[in-house]
Amino acid sequence: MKTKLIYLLTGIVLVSGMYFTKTDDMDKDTLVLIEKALEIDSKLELWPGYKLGKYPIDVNYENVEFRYFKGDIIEKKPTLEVLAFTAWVEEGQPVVKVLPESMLSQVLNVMGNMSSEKMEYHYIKALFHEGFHAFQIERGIISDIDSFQANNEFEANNIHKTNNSPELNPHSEDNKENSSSYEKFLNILYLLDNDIKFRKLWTEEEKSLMDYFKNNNKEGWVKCHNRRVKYLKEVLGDDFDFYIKMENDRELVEGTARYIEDKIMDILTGKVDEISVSVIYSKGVSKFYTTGRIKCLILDKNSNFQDNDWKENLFNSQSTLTDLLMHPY
Amino acid sequence: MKAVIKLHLKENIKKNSFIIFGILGTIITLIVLFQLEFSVNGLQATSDHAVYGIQWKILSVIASLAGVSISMNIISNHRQGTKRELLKLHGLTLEKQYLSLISGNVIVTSLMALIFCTGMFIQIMIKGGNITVLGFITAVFLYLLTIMTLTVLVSLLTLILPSAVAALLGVLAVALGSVRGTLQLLVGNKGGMFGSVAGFFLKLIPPLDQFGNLIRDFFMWEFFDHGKLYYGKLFGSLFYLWALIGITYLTVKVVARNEN
Repeated sequence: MKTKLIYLLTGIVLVSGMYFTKTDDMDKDTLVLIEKALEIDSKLELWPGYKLGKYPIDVNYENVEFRYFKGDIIEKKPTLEVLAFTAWVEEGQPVVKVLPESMLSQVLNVMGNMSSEKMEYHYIKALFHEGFHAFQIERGIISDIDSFQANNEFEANNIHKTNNSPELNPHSEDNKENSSSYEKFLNILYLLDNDIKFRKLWTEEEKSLMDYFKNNNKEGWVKCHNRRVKYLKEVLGDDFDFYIKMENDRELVEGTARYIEDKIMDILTGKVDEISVSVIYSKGVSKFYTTGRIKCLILDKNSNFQDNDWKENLFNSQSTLTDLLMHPY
Repeated sequence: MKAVIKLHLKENIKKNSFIIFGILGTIITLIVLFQLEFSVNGLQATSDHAVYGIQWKILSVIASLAGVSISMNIISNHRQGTKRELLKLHGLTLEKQYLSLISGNVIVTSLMALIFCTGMFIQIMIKGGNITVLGFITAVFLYLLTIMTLTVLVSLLTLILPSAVAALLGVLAVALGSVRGTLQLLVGNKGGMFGSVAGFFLKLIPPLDQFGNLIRDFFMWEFFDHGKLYYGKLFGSLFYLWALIGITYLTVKVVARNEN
């Protein structure tokens, strides 16, 4: 009898504990990191015109969402029925959609080896990355569905089903078209990822790009790039133009966002991190993040004009990162 | 009841296996230390988080698996032997026999889990680090609760399923439970019906990763730096264990009544 009573009392304590600690506000860790990110944002301009603080930040706790905007926090129902880090359009305005710090930590820190400080860096980096996608949406570089696909790497059918309200998703028709293009791109990429010769050519090009970054060996990279393009033309035929456009778009959209992450990390850690590329070929779209990021860093290093010139021109013209590297101003 | 637990401990605590557990734990400690000392920048070789975080993770997973293997045959062996009838004649009901066996399983696996940590205890004494006594004791307590969760779960499964199937499900629970948070995010990212259904089933898996985070947070004495959300995780994880104990007790009652 005594044991049962203790058991019941323990249950009551635990249930009460769960009730009193349920999410009714943005958690302390996430709020501190958002404010820290916005403080950094207010002090410097990482990209001409880009300010993270311009966009509302929605933190999704599965059943409830909190919007942080200009110091105010509003409780609302989650608008995306999926858990994701992304940028999205709501009521005609780009919004940064993120998850709480603890959720990111559970994914990134599976082995438990990361310090809280390191996790904070990752979270702040993610905020700036998604914020940059919001900026790209605003500038018409991408649509919200592009941003979602880029981050989640799967067809956007679910998001169409859950978010088909024109008010929430003003580009819905465009997005359906984008989804099928993206699916086609992923199908081609799947074939290329399993093509030994393409993998070899890609790895060589990636290495030569690093060499260009470290030792300014542009010729080596141009040679490797042209060799890969020639092979792609042979194997893809009519699909080449489509594929190369999609590849360049991924590099532009994600490479620039990764570049922003690099800049933020430099500020947070107080040192410039050594850049390296993986010796193993990475399947899927993630490889374009890396090459796009290195291309941005080369442009940064080799810019003949003021620091921001290549950045200004990149989003104002139809140029790709490869174009800018091949034919600098 | 106490006599049955004592008998269970006597039968299952073998000197040799405990020496093996101690050696295994020390090997894990040495491997983690060796790897971290020689890895360049990768895991922040000098940080306590890297050194102890990985050790707690590996020890929890291996101790949980050892808990599965220790508990998997106890109830089926008991059912096959003559002890069951003998104890019944001495007035110990089947329900109490099963409860004693499960308690015995928990004690044996807890002892084994503690011996697993020998290497790390020695390392802490020699190398030290930014660790408080209270944080260490709470971490060990939560570590034992993690192992207890798995042991109770496997014991419950062996009551209603053949031991091989129960062990297989136990191993699966360890594997999925260690990355439950990641899986929840993955299925949440898929959304739709699949996301909701899979999300519900994931909630039934033991929250080993959440226990792991709590162990690390208490060990490094960082738990109280976080807000209410982390208290929610603590209560949620303990509630899982509480509910599991309740379900196991009810199952024992039903199984014992049916067998009678």
